[in-house]
Amino acid sequence: MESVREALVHLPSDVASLGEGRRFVARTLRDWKVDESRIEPVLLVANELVANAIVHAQSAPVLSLAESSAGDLLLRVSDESRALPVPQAPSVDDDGGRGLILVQALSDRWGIDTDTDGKSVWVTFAGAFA
Amino acid sequence: MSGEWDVAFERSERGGRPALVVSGEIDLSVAGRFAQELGNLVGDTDGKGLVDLSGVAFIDSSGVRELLKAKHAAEGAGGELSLLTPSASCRKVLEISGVLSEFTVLEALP
Repeated sequence: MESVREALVHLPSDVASLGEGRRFVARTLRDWKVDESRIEPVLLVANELVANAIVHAQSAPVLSLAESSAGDLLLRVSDESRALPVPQAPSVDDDGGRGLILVQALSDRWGIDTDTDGKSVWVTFAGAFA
Repeated sequence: MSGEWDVAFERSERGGRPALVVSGEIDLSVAGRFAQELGNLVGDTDGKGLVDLSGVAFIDSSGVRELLKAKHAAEGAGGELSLLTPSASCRKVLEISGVLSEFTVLEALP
């Protein structure tokens, strides 16, 4: 995907950096004039993916945002673990496993790229710049 | 900026019922504190407390998980955990997570 512009932040492997990640997303998207109503889903998705990287991959994540030439928003969270996240369909009484449900519900497409250095989970938000 | 300043828990009363008033941002960095506050509310009130979520600016799946755990604990204590006027963003996250209907949600003070 050809990018019009990109921004990224390296976050410490500490849950205390979740807020920093959200503020990076909010600041960047406001700078890029993305409508406020489009920002909240991106905040939620970025937060869940960064939390997964810190907790499950035990890795310092890199969070990046890009605008495609087609006007879509691409969010990417990379970490140094090749272990793949597994979406779960929690039962009513299950207390966990809802992070990726939020990711799936709030984005248009998502997927995982792996290489020798680790993996990155990418998510697209179609028409975010419309 | 640490999470310390971004969230507040206060014990109060709402419509004569004991309440935990939550404001700010609930994420994994404060999930332990949230769990403790919810546990205290359930323990102190035989599960009959309210959680006022009107001031919640952000909540993630870890926050939803703690609310569900507290709901189960309240039911175990013979009560019911009611949510009071959740903010629009909080309500949306509960809804997408498929758990909003699990809770008794009060739209105004009882």
